Amino acid sequence: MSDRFRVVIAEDHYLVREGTRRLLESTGRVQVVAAVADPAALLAAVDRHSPDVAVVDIRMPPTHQTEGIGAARTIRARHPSTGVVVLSQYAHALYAFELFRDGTAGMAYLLKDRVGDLDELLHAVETVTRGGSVIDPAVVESLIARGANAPPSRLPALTEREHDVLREMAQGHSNQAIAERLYLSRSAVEKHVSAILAKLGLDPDDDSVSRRVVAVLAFLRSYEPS
Amino acid sequence: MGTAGVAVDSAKGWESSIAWAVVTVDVVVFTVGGALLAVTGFEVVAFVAVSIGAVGLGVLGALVVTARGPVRTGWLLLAIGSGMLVSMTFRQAAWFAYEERGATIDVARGLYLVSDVAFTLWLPLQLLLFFTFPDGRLPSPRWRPAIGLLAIVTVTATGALFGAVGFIRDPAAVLAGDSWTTRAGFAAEAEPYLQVFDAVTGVLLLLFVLSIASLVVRMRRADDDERRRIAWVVYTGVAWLVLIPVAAVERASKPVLSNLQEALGGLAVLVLAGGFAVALFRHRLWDVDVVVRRTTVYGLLWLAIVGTYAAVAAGFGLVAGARLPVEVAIVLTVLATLVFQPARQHLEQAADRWVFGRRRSPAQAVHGLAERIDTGQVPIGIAAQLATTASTAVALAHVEVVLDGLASASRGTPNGEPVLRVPIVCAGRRFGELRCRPHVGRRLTPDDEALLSALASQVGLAVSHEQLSSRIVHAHETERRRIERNIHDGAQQELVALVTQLRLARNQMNGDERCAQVLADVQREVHEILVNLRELAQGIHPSVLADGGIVAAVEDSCSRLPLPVTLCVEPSLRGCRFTDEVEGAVHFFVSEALTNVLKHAAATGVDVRLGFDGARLTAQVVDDGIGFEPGSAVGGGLGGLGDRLHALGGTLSVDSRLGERTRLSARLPAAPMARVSP
Repeated sequence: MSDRFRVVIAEDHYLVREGTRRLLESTGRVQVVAAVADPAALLAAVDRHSPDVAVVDIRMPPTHQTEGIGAARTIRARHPSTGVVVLSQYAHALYAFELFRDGTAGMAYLLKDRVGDLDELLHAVETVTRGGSVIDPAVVESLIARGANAPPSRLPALTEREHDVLREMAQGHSNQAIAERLYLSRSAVEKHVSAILAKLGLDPDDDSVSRRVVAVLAFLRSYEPS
Repeated sequence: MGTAGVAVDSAKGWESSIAWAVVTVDVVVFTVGGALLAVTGFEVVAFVAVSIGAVGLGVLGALVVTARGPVRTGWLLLAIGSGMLVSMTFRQAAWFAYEERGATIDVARGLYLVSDVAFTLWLPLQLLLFFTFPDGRLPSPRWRPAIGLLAIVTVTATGALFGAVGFIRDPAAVLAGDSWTTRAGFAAEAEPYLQVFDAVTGVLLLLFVLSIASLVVRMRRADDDERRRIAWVVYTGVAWLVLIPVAAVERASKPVLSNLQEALGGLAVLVLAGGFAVALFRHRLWDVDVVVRRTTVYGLLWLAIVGTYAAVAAGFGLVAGARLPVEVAIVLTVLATLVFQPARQHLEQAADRWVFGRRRSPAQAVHGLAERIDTGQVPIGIAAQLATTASTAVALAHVEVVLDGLASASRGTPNGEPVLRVPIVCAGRRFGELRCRPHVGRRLTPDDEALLSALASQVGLAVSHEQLSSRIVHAHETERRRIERNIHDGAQQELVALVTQLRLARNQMNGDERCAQVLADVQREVHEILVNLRELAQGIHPSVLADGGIVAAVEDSCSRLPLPVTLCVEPSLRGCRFTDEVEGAVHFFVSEALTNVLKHAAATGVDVRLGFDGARLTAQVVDDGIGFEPGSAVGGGLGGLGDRLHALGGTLSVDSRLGERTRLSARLPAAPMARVSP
């Protein structure tokens, strides 16, 4: 089927690799064209298959640290039409920042547990294929939760509702989708998004897809002490 | 045996004891001579000048022996001084016995014989001293014939003396005049012996000129430093070269020894003693001054004590000599000298302590080094400490401490290859070397070597301990990383695999809602376990620390705290990476401090600061809580914290009082490794 996403999986753990492959294929919307175990094989597979999406484990041989992030950015640089979903064990925002350092388009940062959350995973695959971005809500969540105790932000505080909207934005949802998920009117969501962008010092009129994740990153960064 | 101004605690050994015993005997001989002089009034100028110079030479000799200079030279000085004293005092005794007491001619001959034998011995020894100065050895083997000739001359002269003494007719004439030249007072049978004596005197004069020449040769060959040290003794020899012809001219014109001749003889001895004293003290020959620790105050005190001692002994002799039979007076004088000896000794020691405080004995040196190692910085500080301790405990020209690849330090000025190399080892492992070189002409005694090796082994132990501590911290850090990695790549991955299996199973339920629900619940639980496992791994070794560095990790710790935290980070620290141990220790410090704040401080806010000055990382955690009693050490974490910082050469300071804010500070030496992108 031509409408299926062509996906390459890179994961050094055999059971996780095969499980992810079967799960994605079980949706009927994904065709796994290659499943490999290390960064070199990943880059070779992407070169050969030019897939729509690469699903990449953050920890891979040889050092099992953040090879996945390096590989993801290499793929984005070499193959702008291939989106990348990085699956990570780490909830810390540091790794998301590292992934999005040179740009956010076509990249997603998800916690590994999401492989069981098939809808979320599929949503991320779809979003990066469109050139959008996704940050795992748990990453945003933990910072928001902590931020309540230690607000070092030099930005005006977001309201509770704006936090909710930002969390949805982080997941790459459109205003329409956010409105449906939060039971709000579409115009209310648009108002909140504008307010968030303004508070984060971004141009409220430019709410393109990648701009919205920039907003999320700006929000996360505001928790970094200066 | 008490010591004249010598470091009371310095290692002396039996040689030094004997040397000072000889000096005491010299003083006794001197006071006996003084007592006789009070009665006879014979050769007053010569006796006083020569005897004082002779005592001075004896003291210098004993100092050289004690200071472990060239021992042979020290003994030579002592022997020369003693010979002079014996010679002068027995001249007094012979005059006293014959002129004052009318003793038989044989008694007079005997006393005269002792006096002249002593003279015939010390003069060649004086030449030997010049030949072998300053290291106790000849300048080169080529000088050996001169020494052989000197020995022959000495034996011959002594033999002639023994032969001639039996033919003395008039002891008074022999004593008073230059009868070896004029033959006055000798029977005609003495003539062959006197001719032999004339001949050897000529050879002796030749040898004397040679010995001065050897000194000049030696001085020309020496480097500047050594030249300065021996110059004064050379000047002495040259002065003798001048004095002897003047004395000879004077003697030829007078039938009886004149005051001028006496004065010239005395001057020669005083010049000799003075030359050596200047060389020893002013130019640090053999480092005698290090042992004596000359200072003006101490020098004056010492002179006062010795002077009083001599005056008391001599005064007693004079008073006794005037009122009692001379034999009784002599016995009493000897007794008085010996009785006052301990008093002098105690006074000297008291003065020594008063001026210098307590000295560093070998035991003190070892103890002092141990104390400094305990508080000091290992290994940079300890190398310097060892160098200082070694150079002060054993007076070395140059000492160098090398701790392989860690640190090095040196004291003194390099003056050649090290004479002694003491390895710094512990349990078979070698950490470096202690290299020593004594001053020119000095040697290291077995005691010195034992002390240096004790000091070195102390340092070996400390360095070994230090390396062991940092190895333990390193092993600890490595192990934590390994466990963290195993959680991420092992258990966590297995659970993720399980999640995919569960999800696949749910997909295949095909409408069995109840089963699907159970599987969904199980999957949720596994998800919870995964979250917990992530937290666990984070606690064991934060991945943020490994991947983002100390600033990122501390920010993370702060942001997790359910309290308002102000974090202030030195801008230069951003992007700096340090060794795993350093980063681990600082992060551990901040985490433990924050945990303590949460558990005990009842604080409403925390202030965290990270600083870096290029060589030292500092971290400070200040809360506004209730504080604690210093010493009660709230939380067992503080002890472990201190240990961990200490093992890396850092310090922990706790500043708190009950009811006041608590300040915990950590300082740690650290070198940045590389910058990472922020």
